[in-house]
Amino acid sequence: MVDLVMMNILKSGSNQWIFQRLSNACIVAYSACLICLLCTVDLSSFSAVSNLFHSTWFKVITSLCVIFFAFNSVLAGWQIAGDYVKQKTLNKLFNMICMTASAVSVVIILATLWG
Amino acid sequence: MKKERPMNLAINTIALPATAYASILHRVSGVIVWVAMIVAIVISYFALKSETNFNEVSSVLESYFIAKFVVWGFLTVLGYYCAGTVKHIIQDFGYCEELKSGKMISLVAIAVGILLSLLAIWWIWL
Repeated sequence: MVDLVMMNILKSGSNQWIFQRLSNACIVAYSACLICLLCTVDLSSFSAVSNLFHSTWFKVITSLCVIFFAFNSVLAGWQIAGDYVKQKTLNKLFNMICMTASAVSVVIILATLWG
Repeated sequence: MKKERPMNLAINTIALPATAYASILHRVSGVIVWVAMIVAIVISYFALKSETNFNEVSSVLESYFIAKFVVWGFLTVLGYYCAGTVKHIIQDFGYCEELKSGKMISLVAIAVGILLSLLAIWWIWL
């Protein structure tokens, strides 16, 4: 099911555009949520931050958002590579770096939250 | 049609409108946010491993001006990126797409970015 959704997005420019808008809106919403947290909750101690990272709502929302962000980064990286990195090999290398870095950040965040 | 047509690709000689600056700033801020997020994720992973690590990271952030400056820089680009995203979404719904209104919303996005940057200064240093 996820594969079909992803292939749909990969093959369709308009689906990519919609996905990018949705994930950008998600980034804005999540950033606003984090800023609100930083301003309202005292996160200056290890226990406070640990408690936040162990709370279910934070873990679920962050996990979903970071997966969204990773796909958004790959898509944005592909657009940037297409605009500025014209040489075929460098273009592929740039995209590989974007995909790898995005995948690694997802793994690290999920390990931090759920590990 | 002639194959060789006159071109002016010397972008530094062209007086770009505010819309162009708003657009390229959004892309640049997006790239910086992406790189900074990866660094922040790695630092978070390290900081949450133990209380000692957390205190070490806290101490670096509290003690060094450069660390605070980097955090401020990150908050500034994140702020502008968010302002630029909201601008994009408003325009995608068909608003502020004309010449005058497009310029206006670009200037508003840049102004909001500057405001958020000033708020970040206040939050970090004051």
